[in-house]
Amino acid sequence: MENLAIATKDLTKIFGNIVAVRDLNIEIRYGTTYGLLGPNGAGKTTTVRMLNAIISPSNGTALVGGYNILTQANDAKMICGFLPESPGLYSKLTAKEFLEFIGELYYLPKVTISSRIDELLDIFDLEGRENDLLEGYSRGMKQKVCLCAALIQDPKIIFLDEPTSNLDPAAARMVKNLISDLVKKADKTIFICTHLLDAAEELCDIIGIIDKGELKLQGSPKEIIESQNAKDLEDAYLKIMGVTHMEDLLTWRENGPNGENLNKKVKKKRK
Amino acid sequence: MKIFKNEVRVRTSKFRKNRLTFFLILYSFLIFWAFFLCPLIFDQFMPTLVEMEEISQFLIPSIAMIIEHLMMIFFIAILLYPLNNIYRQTEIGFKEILLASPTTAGDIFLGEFLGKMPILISYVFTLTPIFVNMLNPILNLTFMQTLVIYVCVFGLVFMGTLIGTIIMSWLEHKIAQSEKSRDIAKALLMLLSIGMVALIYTLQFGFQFIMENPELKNYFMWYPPLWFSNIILYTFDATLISTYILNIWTSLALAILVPVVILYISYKSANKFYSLEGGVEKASSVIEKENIFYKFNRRIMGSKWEGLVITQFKEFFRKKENITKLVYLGGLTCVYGLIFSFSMSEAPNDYLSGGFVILTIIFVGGMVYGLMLGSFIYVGSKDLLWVYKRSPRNVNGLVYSYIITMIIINTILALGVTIFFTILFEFDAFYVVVFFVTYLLYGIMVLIEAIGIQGFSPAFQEKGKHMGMNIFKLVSIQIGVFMGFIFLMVWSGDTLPDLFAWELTPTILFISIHPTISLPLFFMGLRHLKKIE
Repeated sequence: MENLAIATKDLTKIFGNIVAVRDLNIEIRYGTTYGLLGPNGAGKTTTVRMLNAIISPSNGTALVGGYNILTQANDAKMICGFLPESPGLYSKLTAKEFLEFIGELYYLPKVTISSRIDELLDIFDLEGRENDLLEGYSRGMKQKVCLCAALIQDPKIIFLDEPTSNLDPAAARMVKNLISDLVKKADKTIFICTHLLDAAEELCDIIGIIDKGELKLQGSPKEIIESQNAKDLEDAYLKIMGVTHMEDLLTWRENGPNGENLNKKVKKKRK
Repeated sequence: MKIFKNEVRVRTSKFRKNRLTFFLILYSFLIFWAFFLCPLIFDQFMPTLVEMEEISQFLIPSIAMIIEHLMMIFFIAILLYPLNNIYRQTEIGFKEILLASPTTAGDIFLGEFLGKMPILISYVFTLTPIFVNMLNPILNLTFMQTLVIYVCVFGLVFMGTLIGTIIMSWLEHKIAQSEKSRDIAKALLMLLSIGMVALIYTLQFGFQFIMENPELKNYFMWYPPLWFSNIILYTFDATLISTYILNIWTSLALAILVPVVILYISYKSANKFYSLEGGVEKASSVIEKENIFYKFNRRIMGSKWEGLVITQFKEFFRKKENITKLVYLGGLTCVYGLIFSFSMSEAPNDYLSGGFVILTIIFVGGMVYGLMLGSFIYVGSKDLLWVYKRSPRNVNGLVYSYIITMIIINTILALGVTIFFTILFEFDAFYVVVFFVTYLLYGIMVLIEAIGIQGFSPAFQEKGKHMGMNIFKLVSIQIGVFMGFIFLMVWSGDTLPDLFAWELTPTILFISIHPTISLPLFFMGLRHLKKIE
């Protein structure tokens, strides 16, 4: 257990009648990049929110960085960075002011905040725009500011919910490289929720596939592909989820309103 | 037609499963109300009132003015209604979908406007019967006169909604262009609402003056409600509009032609205010240095809160509509105090009058302050709430930093109001201190009550149903406590005259009992907020 950055035991979250996450058991070692994949509403964001002690589990528990999320929530929060799916920003603050504010939330000393901001603005190529109000930022730039906010207290464990969803290809590549560097050079543990299977395949050491709150499968990308006898992760994912292929979905085009096969009619006409 | 249907759907979304039944029940009830229930209610007391000499002496000569006055106020209310919904509609994404379809901008405008009509017609059938049944015992209305009233009220509603929709669409178009203009427009909109309310009050206070100088009404001749009220008055008695420049034919022509021409022009030129031309400009405002106000506050604040409080200050003061709110708040309190003190000075022999004026000023100022600044704590901050929740400071960081910020703002406001009333009432030093402290304390208590209520059910939108409900709860608590206190004071004034011999006793007692409500409400709301998932 001591080597584990994240360990959950029967972690469950119920909202009314809906079981958002059911008996989740995962173990993630330090220095690992873990990817949680699943369709919309599968329970990815709920899992991340529970692990960040934002919401409390209905059942089960979890240790994050060795801290119990129920009894040592503040200690767990101090060592975690979190990039949420939808960015919460004060639109009337500049990027620099917003990052100062986030630093203050984590009780960081002013000198540390200042140097970390300079460093992060440089990494994310936001220098020169740091004094602009956030209301004038594009979606991608806001995402970058949120990434800076997730990293400002130099957390041991970083949770990223759809980290590249709003970014242009160059910025997405930069974030991917940054994630690799954070793991390799700074020995960070990264927990990513994403829909982007190619990014997950490229970045993650371990992948968990979740659907309707239940963890369906877990393993390295290679193991998952092999277990499903698939050609790549996307193919494996679709097989696990039981998603019908596009050809099946478009069969309606071939059938007329009364169920007759239009293709045959067309072929007949051509003849 | 599709846009018209969509607009009706949006407005009746609460009854989406039984829309047809909803309209059937609504209109059946309205017909029942208009032709049976309302006449029945008014028949109970109106004939008696008309027979009373002191009332009929006032009512009958001023009937024309009353009709004009009601029509003017009704028009303002109708005009403001679409403007009030402006924030709901600034959804560029939705506009984009509509404009991407083969529909023209004119069709969208017309569809949206006509989509409002079924609901507005229901307003006509709710209010006009009151109007008709108030007049009936005085004027013995014929069928034709009643019909004219209904048609004129409908015409007024049509025109008010049309102008309101055009202004709203144009403002939306301007607002959507940049965050900066969104900000300025919100402030302007607030000023516009204040202007409209001021106009209503001016009409109210100028009532007697206009009664004595009817020719002054000609200055309002381009104000549309007068065209409609002229038509109604003409059907009662042609001489009622004889002092006007506008005769019945001009009024009739204006009432029919102006809405038609406006509708035609706006339909044809809808692309001027219903387009995404210019796009959503990302205006960037650069702020390199903190001003002296923030620097000063950083110094006086402890290091634990300094950063968070300054963040709240910046977020508050950089939104222009918040400055307007403060001006409105200070202005309203001063004007209210002024009017109230004048009316009290005319009241005969009231041993509590001085203290009562102070108590009422504190009550009004505190309530408006709580409503405006306490209720908006979580607006637009659903995602920000998670930012605080994921940090070790949790929601406490947001709530307490907001309270500290608002206390500082209220202190400045209380100072201004105290200076104003010190000059007005010639307070001595002791009264200055008591007024300042009680004004400040009551404001803080209402603020934390508002935050407590919002904690139970945070309204993340300014125009959401939660916000309306929360404001209603806050106002109910304030008025309930105030009225209860007044009754208690009147009751114990006779039994305990010594206690109320000093005129500040009511104010101090009122301030002392409020924490028993505000503190539990605040802490319970905060606890509930922490559990929100």
